[in-house]
Amino acid sequence: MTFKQFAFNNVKRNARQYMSYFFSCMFSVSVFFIYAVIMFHPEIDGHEFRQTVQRGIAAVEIIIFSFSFLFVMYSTGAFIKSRKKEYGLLMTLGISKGQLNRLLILENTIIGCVSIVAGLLIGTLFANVFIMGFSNMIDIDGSLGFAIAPKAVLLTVVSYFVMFELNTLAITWTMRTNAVVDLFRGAKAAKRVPKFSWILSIIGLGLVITAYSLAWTADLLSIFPRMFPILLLIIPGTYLLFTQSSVALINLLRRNKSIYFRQTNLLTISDLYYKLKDHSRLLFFVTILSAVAFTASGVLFGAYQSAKTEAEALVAQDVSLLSKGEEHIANMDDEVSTFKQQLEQKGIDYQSLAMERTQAKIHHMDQDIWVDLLSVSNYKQLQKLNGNTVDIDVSNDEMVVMLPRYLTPGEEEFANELTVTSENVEETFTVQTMDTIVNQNTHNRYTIVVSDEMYQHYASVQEPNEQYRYVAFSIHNWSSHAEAIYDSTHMIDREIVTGIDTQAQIYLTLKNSLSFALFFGLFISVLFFLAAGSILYFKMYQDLDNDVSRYRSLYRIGLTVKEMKKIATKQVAYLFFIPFSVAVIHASFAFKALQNMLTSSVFMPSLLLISCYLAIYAIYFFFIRGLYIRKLKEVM
Amino acid sequence: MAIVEAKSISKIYGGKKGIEHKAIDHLSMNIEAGEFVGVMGPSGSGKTTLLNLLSTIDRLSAGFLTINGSDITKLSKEKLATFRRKEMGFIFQDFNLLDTLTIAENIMLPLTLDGRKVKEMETKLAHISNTLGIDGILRNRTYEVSGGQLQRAAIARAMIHEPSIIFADEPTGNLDSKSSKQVMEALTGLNTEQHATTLMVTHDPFAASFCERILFIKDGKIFNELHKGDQRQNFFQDILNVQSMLGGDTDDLQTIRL
Ligand SMILES: Nc1ncnc2c1ncn2[C@@H]1O[C@H](COP(=O)(O)OP(=O)(O)OP(=O)(O)O)[C@@H](O)[C@H]1O
Ligand SMILES: [Mg+2]
Repeated sequence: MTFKQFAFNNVKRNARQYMSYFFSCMFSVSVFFIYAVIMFHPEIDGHEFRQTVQRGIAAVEIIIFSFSFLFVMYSTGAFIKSRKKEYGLLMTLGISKGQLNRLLILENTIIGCVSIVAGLLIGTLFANVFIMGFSNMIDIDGSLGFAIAPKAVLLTVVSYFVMFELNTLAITWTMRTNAVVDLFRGAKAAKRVPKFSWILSIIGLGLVITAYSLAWTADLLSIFPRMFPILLLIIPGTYLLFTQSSVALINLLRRNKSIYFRQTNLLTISDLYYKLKDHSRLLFFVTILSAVAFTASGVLFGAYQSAKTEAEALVAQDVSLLSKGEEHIANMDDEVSTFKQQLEQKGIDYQSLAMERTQAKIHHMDQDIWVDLLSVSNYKQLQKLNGNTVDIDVSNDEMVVMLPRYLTPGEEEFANELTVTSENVEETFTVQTMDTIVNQNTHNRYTIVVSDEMYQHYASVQEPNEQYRYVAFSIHNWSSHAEAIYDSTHMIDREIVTGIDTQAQIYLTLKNSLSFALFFGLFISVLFFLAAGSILYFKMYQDLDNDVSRYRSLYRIGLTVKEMKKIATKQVAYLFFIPFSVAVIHASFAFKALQNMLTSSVFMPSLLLISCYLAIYAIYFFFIRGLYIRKLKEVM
Repeated sequence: MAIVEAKSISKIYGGKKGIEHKAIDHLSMNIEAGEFVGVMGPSGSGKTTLLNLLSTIDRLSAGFLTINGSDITKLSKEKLATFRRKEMGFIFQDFNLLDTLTIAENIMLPLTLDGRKVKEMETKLAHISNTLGIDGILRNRTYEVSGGQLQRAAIARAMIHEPSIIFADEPTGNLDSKSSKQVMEALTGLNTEQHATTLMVTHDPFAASFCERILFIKDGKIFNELHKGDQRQNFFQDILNVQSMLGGDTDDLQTIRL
């Protein structure tokens, strides 16, 4: 048997241990490759989007690559550790350091090459689906063809090969420092009683709760300055939660004799006590990865879903056109009818309403500002157009200020009485406020509703350029015609109609920018999430040898297969779902912060998203539990 | 009353693809209540296999086996496990204590699995650990105590639920002579005081000399049987004689160290 054969057989014999490692490597290679295929796609190369798209994908590639690097490094390290005994044996049998290093390098190179090839094949298989999805996403006319640029293959092969080799070198370098005795002891060293400190446990809990409360109370203005402190609290907090608080909690459980000594609990809890501590850093890592995945995709998905509601909240009328001054108003009708014709041509149902407004002046926040006035009967008509029923009455000494959606602090605090002036008219009103139902315009900050009589009073003295004409549209099911509506507004002369506001425009802008982010964000999130799962899977496999001998002795003294299943299921479930639940709670507070900024509810979208993750995770869980139990059953 | 009744039991390994190997060949034996029986024989003669069969860890290929009056060949795997945990205690060469549990927890494990009350477990633990002289290490972990202490803890675990029979596979195999002696004294003590029926497999003639009766097996069959007379010294000499007669295991011949 030559040395190469020996190395090859070693990989073959250790197939089970290598399997999870191999699958994870293969997975990251194929994801990397798919993005590379899109990045170097010949048709995107010529597309106007090219620059932005390529930059986006390049960023994703860097994230995937650095992530794979960490992952492979962790996995190889753990893998080598689990085989230290074998290396110790080889060394006592007289294998030289150089030979051992060569064996390691050869083994890892074999694994690396195989996973690169397999990753490319899997990637090619799925690339087509991704290309189709991608061209849909960025609205390229007609789908992109199926093409794989040689550059994509080259980039993937070279970067991953270099990565595997660097990793192997790093590993052999750390091995050098270990004496044979250490190798022999390997992972089998006696398990020490897990230590924890109450103070650190409580600090951990405190950090997490502080971060939660910061997120809970954040709003549009405070979220940005708070973002960094929240991260700074939550990450070490979670770390302490896993390394200290979890052990502390189990320790409490162990003290409760009636729980601890209840049948299989003794085995479940005592084993978990060690496993939680052994795995605490891993669980922490998995939690953070999952939390990032949930939060990122939840925020993006939530924002994407709420684009319509947000557009409706920002812009009160579906479409509004506004002209200022006598001379523009005279030409406005032509423009309005052009727009209406456009809508009719496109088969879009609409109702419209035209009304006059006039300009006046009030004193607010220590300065004189221009406002425009709307008569209460016009207000009622607008409400009717929007589909609302109203019963408000405004008497001659009352006025209602309509507040825009976003206010700077203090803006909403109006004096109880205000004087409205225009030319020589000057009247004082008692003030009420309400949310606006007209679209904002660039001329005046506030629109004020007054009685019809008062409106006439002010309108009769207005200068020609203080006159406004406002045409509001209500379009049935506007969001499904958003693009047609937006296109139609391009036909209007902006010199004449100075204020064109559509929900469609806001909606389209939100959707477009978010769909990009969503495309990249979701895939990175899913990648993170799957990586988290793989790491757990890998760890479970590493423990398997230990567990097998444990269950073998337990079986002899009379542990039933049913009880083994119960214990194993509980343990796998804890390892899987503790990080998952913590990540969900973390993400929920992030969603709450998002909710504070949005009008529409993010509850349903985030619930939907978490449910999807949960479903994937549950499948993962049952799969791994099945494998684990099957392995244990072999010895029972 | 016979605790174990084996009639013409066999165990055949391999078959189907490989060559068949009769590890136990139509062997019959009885163990009476309160007996302390030893099983000896050359390496590969089928001692461990016999113990595994009698203790229901392995399935019979042929034959009849009753333990404490119940025909265990009819029981399902699941029932066998519960049967083992009620009726049997186990002691192994490598102790088989769980390193995630303290010594006390290890000893109480059979009672815990059985769903007993904490109070009851603690009383029994106190009693048995006192008998075996291991009260001092109850709170320790398995890696903090000596091999002899570990094995005595394992004996305590095997005894705590008052099983009808205890199976021991080379309980002194990993111990030095001093610890061996302690462990064997503990086992015989329990046998005489509490009438614990015991079946022990061993290579060690010294350990075997503590038994009342020794079965020698060779190639899966009973080769010889020795009863202890009045003199342990003579018994020990007899054991050595039979061993050299059996051959094959000469390196196990040991100098007298009584
Ligand atoms: N699982 C198995 N599959 C096939 N053959 C087995 C198996 N277990 C034991 N044997 C064979 O059965 C025979 C008896 O084995 P057993 O382990 O009972 O011997 P032993 O008397 O306990 O030996 P030792 O003193 O070395 O422990 C041996 O020849 C062994 O090779
Ligand atoms: Mg044996």
